[in-house]
Amino acid sequence: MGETMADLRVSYATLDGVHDALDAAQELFANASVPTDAGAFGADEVADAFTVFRTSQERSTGWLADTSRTLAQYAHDTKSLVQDADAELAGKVGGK
Amino acid sequence: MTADPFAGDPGAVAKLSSGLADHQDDLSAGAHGVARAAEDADDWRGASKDRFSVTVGTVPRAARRIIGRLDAAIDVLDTYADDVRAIQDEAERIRAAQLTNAMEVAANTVSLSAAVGAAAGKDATETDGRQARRLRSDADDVAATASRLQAEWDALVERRAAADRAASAGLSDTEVLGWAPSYSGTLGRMSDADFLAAVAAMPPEVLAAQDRSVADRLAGLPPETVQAWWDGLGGRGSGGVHSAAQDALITALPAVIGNLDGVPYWARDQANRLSAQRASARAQDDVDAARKALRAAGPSARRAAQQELDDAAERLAALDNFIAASRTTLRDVDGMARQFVSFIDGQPPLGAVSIGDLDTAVNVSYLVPGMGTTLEDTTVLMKAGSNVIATQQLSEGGRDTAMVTWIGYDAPRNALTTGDLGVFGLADAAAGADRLAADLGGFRATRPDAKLNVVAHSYGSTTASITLHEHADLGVGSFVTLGSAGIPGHIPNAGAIHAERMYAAQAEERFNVAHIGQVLSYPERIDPTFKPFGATEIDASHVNGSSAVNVHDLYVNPNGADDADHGYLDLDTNTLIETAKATLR
Amino acid sequence: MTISVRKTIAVAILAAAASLALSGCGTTRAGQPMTIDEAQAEAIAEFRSALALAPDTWPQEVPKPAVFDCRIDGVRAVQFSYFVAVEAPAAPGVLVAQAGEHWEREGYELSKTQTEMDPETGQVYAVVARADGKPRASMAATKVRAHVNVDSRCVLGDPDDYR
Repeated sequence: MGETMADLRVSYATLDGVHDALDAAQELFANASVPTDAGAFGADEVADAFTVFRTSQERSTGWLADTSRTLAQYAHDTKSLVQDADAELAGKVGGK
Repeated sequence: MTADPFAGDPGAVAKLSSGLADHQDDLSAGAHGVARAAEDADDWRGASKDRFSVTVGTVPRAARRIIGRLDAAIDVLDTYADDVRAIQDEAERIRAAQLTNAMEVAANTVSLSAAVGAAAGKDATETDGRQARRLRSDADDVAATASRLQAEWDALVERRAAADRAASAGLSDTEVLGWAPSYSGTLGRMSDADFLAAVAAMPPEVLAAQDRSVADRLAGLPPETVQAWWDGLGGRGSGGVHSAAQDALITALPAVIGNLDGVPYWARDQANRLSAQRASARAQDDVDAARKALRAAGPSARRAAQQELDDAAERLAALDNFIAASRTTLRDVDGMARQFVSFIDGQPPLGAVSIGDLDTAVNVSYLVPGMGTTLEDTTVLMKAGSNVIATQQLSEGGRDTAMVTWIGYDAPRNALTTGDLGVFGLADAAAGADRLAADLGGFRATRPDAKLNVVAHSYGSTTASITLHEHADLGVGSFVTLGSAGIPGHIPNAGAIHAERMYAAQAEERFNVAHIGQVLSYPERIDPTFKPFGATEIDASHVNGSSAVNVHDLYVNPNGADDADHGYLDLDTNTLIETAKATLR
Repeated sequence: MTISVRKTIAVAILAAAASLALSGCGTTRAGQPMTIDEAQAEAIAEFRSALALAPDTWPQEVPKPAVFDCRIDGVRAVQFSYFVAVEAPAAPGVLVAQAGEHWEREGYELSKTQTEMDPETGQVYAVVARADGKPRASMAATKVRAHVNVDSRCVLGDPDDYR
C-alpha cells in the first residue's frame, strides 16, 4: 500500500473488530431482499414501474453489500501488513 | 388497454408495502453496523485508514438516502392500495346495481310487451292503456338508470386508470428512484461534457443502479476527455486523498473505472481490487454450487458435473492468484506500489498488475507472456519482473521504474501439456495485439512523458510484434524478445516494428520450445535473432561469467545444483542484465 | 512443407516433449530430506555470514523471506529467498570480491561477472555461489546500489502456508 510501518498504527483486535462488524453489515445488506409484486397490481403500467424500481433498489442495495465487503476485506488485508501495536507495546513494557 | 376497476389485490399491495418496510429495517441495521465499524476503527492511523475512512463514510449516508426513497415508495403503494380498494368497492356497487337494472329491464320488457298487446286488443280498457303508458314510463326510467350506471362505470374505469397512472408516476419519480428513468434516454442524447457532469453528480448507489448504457458510454470516451473530467472532480488525487465524487465512481462502477484510460492508475487500482474481489467471491460460490451439484449428480451426469467443478475451480485459482499479487512478497520491491492496472471479469478473466507506480514512474515496461499464461501465473511473472527491477535499480537511470505484468490477452493454451496447436497460428496473437495496443495506447495517452518499453516472451513476442508493427505512434523505446515463438512473416525486419530499439535473446533451450514455435508455425515465423532481421542479439549463453539460459521459461529460480536450470529472467543470467539495460536506454 | 506435414511433426515432437516432465522451479537431488526450519536456518546463517563481511555497508537484520514455489521430484515444495539492497555502496567491486572469496572458502563454486551497466553508472560486479546441498548465494553491486540474495534449498512443504 506504500505507507511505511512508522505511519501505520492499529491493533489486531481493532482490525478484527472492524472486519467482523463490516462482514455482518455486508450479510444484512446481501440478504435484504426487495419483494416481488406477483401480480398484485392488476395493471401492467404499475407492474412495469415497480419492476424498474425493484431493479434499482437491488442494484443500490448490492452496492451497499459490495462496498461493505470491500471495506471488511480492506481491514483484513491491513492486518497482514501491520505489526500488532498492542503486542509491540506489551513487548516494550515487558522490557524486551 | 382499458383499466379494469376490479383488477389487483389491495391486500397484496399492502403486504408489498409492508415488505418494503422490512427491507428498510434491514438496511438500517446494516448501516448502523457500518457506522459502528467506523467508530471502532478510531485507533487506526495512517494512510490506509485515510483510504478506509473516505469510503466507509459513504455507506451509512447512502443507506439513509435509499431508506428515504423506500419511504416515498411505501407512500405510493399505500395510497394505491387504498384507491384500488375504494374503486373495487364502488365497482361492486355499480355492478350490483347494473345487475338489478338489467333484471328490471328484462321484467319491464316482458310486462310492456304484454301491456301494449292488451292495450291494442279489441277488449282493451282504459286501465290497459294506463298500464301500458306507465310501463313505457318505467322503461324510460330503467333505461335512464342503465345509462347513468354505465356512465358511473366509465367514470370508475377512468378513476382506476388515473390511480394506475399516479402509482406508476409515483414509483418512477426521482424521490423514489433517485433518478428519472427518462434520464437514461436523456443521458444518451447529452453531449460528452454534460453526460460526464451528470454521472459525476450521481451518488454512488444511484450510479450503481444505472443500466449498462451509462457504463458503456463512459468506457467509450477518449482518454483526453476522461483525464480532463477526472481532474475536474478534485485533481489527479491519490489513494488516500481524493474527492467523494471520485470515490463514488470507483465504488459504483469499478469495472469501467478500472480499465478507463485517462483515469489515474491509483484509482484504476482501487476499482480493479474491488472488481477482482467481487469476482473471486462469485467464483467461490460457483465452486461451492458445483461441488454440491457433483455430489447430487447421477451416474450419467457425473462427468459433466465434474467438468463444471474443474472449470469453476480453475477460474477461482486464477482470480485468487491475481488478487495475491498485491501481497505476495517479492525480492526487494515490497516498498514499491503495486497497482491493479486492468481487470476484465471475462471468460477467461484477464488483467495486469504493476510493480511500481504508473502515475509517476519515469520508465515503464510491459511484460507480455506467452502460451498457456493465465491469471494463475500472475505471481510467478511478477517475480520475473521483480528481478528486472532489482537489476534496473543497480543503475543511475533505474531509480524510478515500473514493470507491468500484462496478462491482457487470451493466450493460446500450452501446446506441450494440452496438445492444443493454437500457438502455431496467428489468430490469438492478432486478437491479443489489439488488446495490447489499446492498453499501451491508453498508457501513452495518460503519461505522454514516460518512457515505455515492451519485454515479450515466447508467443507474447509474436503478439507484441504485431502490436508495434501496426501502431507506430505508441512511442516504445525498447522492444525485447526472449525465447521468441517467431515474428510473423509479414513483418519484414526490426525497422517495421516501430520501437526505437529492438533486442532478441534466444537460448539453447531444452526441448527447443521457441525454435519449434518458429519453425512449425503457419504461416512460418521468423527468428528475430536471425541477423538480417536487424534486432540486436542478446547473448543467452554463459557469457561474462553468467549462467546460460537453458530452458524456455522466463523464471525458474534455480537452486545451487551445478545443472540447475535458468530461465531468461533468472538472477544469474546475462539476459536479465541486458534486458534491464535495454529498458533503461 | 505442407501444413499437414508440419502439424504431424508438431504433434510428434510435442508428444515426445510432453512425456518428459517440465518442472517449474529447481529441484534438489535425492538426498536427506530437510525440514523447513532447517532450510530456513541454513539460509539465514549463510545470509548473516555474507552481511557480516561488511557490517558498515549491510544492515545486519535478516528480512522476511520471499516465498517461492519449487518442486522436488514433481511434488510441490517451497523455497525461501532472503534479499537486501543498499544504496551507494562504498566500493562495489571490493564488496563483491570479498563475498566471492568468502563463499569460495566455504566450498562454493563461483560464477563471476563484470560488465558495464551503462556509461553513467559504470561497472556492475556480480558473483553467484553454488554448491550441491547448500543454499544458493549471490551478490551484485554498482556504485548506485548493491544487493545480496540467498535462496534456501527447496524443501517439501506448501508455499501458501508461508505467504
